[in-house]
Amino acid sequence: MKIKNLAALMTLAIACASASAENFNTTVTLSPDGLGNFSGPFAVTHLGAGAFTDTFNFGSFSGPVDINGSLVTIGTSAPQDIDFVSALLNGVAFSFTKTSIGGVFEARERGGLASTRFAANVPLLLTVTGRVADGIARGQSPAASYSGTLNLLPQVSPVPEPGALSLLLAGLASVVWVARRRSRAESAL
Amino acid sequence: MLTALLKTSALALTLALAAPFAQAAPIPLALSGGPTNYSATFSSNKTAAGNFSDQFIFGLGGQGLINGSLIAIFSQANRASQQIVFNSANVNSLGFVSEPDDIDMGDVLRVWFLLDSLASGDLLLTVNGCAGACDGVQQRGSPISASYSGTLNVTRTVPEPGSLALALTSLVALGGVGVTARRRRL
Repeated sequence: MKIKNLAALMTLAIACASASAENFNTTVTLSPDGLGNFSGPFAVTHLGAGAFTDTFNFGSFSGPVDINGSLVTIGTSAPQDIDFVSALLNGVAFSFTKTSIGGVFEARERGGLASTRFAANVPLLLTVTGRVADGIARGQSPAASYSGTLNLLPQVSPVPEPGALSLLLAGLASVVWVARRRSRAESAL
Repeated sequence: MLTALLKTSALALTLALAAPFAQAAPIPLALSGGPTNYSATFSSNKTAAGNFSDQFIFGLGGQGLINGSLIAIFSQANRASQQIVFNSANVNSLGFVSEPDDIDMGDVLRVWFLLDSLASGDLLLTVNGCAGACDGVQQRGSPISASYSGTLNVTRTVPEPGSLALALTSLVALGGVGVTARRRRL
């Protein structure tokens, strides 16, 4: 009897774990402003219940970039509820604030990525994980959305190139040389 | 010839002056899902500083409960380029409500929510605000790169079995009254 229960429990556990929402992989093109800065929105609508791992590919940039970002969702019933688990931009985590409405737990969720510097020529990949429509009643179909924005500011490379460095050294050397020659000429008088 | 040219340029100038105040056509939003629960997202990217009034249109095809979210972020050091100020956001006459700004180091997260409200028919979402420094100093139209985005959920409301039964009962009762009145007259 006990063994039967255990087997039933295990089957149920496996069935629950395999309930999975669709995973979306989106390429996002950020809009330039003509001054070298970029910005853009991104969004997903899930129509299946369960766990999801969505990715957003923002491409790579030739110099280091400072990026900040936002994420938001609202769901006041199980079919429209999204629970964020994590959001990582190349491993850097968004921080979340979650509040309930009435009896609905974590109905409002917002996430922010404070300005962070990312290296040049590295593909920028945002990975969002979470769950859709937890506790949905049998026969109901989910429709749940989240959206976000990303701002990107290119930064000047902090390390000067070898050419620029040698030019700087040559310039300094010539200034020193001229100064010494002057002081020698003055002492000769 | 010259008069025609002058007239054309005067017309062009009038149009150019009128243009900043012209409202762009509402952007249609597609609701996904069904038959009871629907969801949609909306967004805008701003590449020029100044005030905006964005409109998004969607149809409910009946009565429903609607809620929504709206978000943007900017770094205080780059306010002139990244900031979005929301003045109001409405679905018809139903208003989004602002949350206090979330400040994380130098970054400000702005969030508005529309809590469950009853709506029906064709709906117009209007987002009013300003992009950029919004300080009266920055020239309108200066290049910026700012964005906002948001979500909308709709739950179609169907009459409950109880109220449906009540409606049917009253119809039958009315019919009965009619029949009795007719019999009496006869």
